[in-house]
Amino acid sequence: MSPLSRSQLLKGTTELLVLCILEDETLHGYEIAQRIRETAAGLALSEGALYPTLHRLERRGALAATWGAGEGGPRRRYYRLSDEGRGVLAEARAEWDSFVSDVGAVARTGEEGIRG
Amino acid sequence: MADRSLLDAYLRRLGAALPLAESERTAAVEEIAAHLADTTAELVERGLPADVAERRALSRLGAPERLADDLAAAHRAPRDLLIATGVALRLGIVTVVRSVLATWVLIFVIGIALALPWTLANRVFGLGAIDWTLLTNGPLAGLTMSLAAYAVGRTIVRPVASAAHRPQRTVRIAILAIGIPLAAWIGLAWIALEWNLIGVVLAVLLPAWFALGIVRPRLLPAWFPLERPRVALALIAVILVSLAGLSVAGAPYPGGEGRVREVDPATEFAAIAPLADTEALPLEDIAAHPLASGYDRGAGPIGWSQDWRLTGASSSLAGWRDVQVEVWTSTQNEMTGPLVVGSTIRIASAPLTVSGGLASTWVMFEALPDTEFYYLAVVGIGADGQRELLAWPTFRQWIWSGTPWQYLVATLAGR
Repeated sequence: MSPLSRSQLLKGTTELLVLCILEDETLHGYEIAQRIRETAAGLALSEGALYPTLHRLERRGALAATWGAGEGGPRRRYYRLSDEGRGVLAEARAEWDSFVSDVGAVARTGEEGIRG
Repeated sequence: MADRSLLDAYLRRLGAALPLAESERTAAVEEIAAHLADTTAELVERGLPADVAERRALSRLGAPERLADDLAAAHRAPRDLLIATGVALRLGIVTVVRSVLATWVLIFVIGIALALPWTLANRVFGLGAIDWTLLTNGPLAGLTMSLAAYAVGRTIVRPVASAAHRPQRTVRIAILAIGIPLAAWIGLAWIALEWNLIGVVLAVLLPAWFALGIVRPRLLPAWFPLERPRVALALIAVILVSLAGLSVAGAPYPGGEGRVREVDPATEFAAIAPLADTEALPLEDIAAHPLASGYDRGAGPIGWSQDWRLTGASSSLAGWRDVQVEVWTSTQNEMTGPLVVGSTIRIASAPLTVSGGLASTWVMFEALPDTEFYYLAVVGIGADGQRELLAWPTFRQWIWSGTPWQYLVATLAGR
């Protein structure tokens, strides 16, 4: 069994995923979950974790939310990235890139040793 | 076929467990409801039966209590605990005021409901008077406080949880941990009324009532007007109408009647001391002897002054020594006497100062918790060495008033 659990890795990145999805669109919670599934089928984002993340980002000012009519059903809460959220997204992306680069560098150390 | 009740039950559980302000809670539940509707529709479109689709949609969101906790955590801010403390204080004060008012209104309604027919019957049949002050003494006051503690307990948890954005189970434990010692402290050290033993027990049980309100909020029926100002106002209207009825019936106020009784000192107080001369005591009590007079209260020392007039020449006390005023009580604890030898207790004494035609004293003593009526006598030692009575004893009424803590200390001290 792999020592890396996807769900564990995903936990710290839910905010980043949501911010990325909302970069150019205004969506409600169900659409955000759907968009993440469509973009990366392997990311089994817990829907129970999605709404707390949306509320947390909204309270921090990264997202702005408005109620809108649903398609023939109950009204939906639509989220969009705020100006502050764009700054948060830029920082989160930079942090993620740095993290991936650092982890990658360490993870490949053994491979390079064998090759060398 | 879709089992709509499954979704509704989930949303109900979510709403009940969600510690958010009412508007935020409603919005969050509506948002999750929309999500469930969308997910179910998508799964049905993919070919799943509606009931299976609903179950799968629910399982994707996880347990409603877990979702509620996570949503609440997302709403937390550092100032939440400060706000929650403010909410708890405001609710505590408002609920105590409301519930005490409502409970007393209820007590008066019951009192008037009993007084009105009794007064009418009394006018027709001459049944005799009732001491209605029994409605307002210690036990009912204690019960009122207890109901207030219960009302605070059952009112406080949800709003405080919403303000703190913490699960109710967590807040319940915190409120119990803080509230029980606080209720005990208030009950023991701060509620000072004219207590009798039952009243004291009820006050001491204040923390238990508080805890009961928290763990069993539905113990008292919902109609009980603890937090319902409208019900209290309706009851006040009933009181006003009833008082008008009592006024017409001839009893404008269902209060107590004064109990004044002439007594014969020669028989009533003979046990205090052998009488020197029942026909010609050297001192005459200036106060309204021998009727019950005076009314004081206090758990601390009571100071009392009294004057006696010399009935004879200014030298009429010349043959007496060690003249003292003595405060006596009776274990019978009533002012209908007589004092019984062996059951009387002398609790204080002070020397008498004679100046001109007046003999005066100032005596300090502590009222006894279970004793309301006291007797004061002036005694002295005559030429033959006998201790004898120099003035008729006087009734005095001192109501012990204090906190249950003072009561317990005084009782345990064996006073």
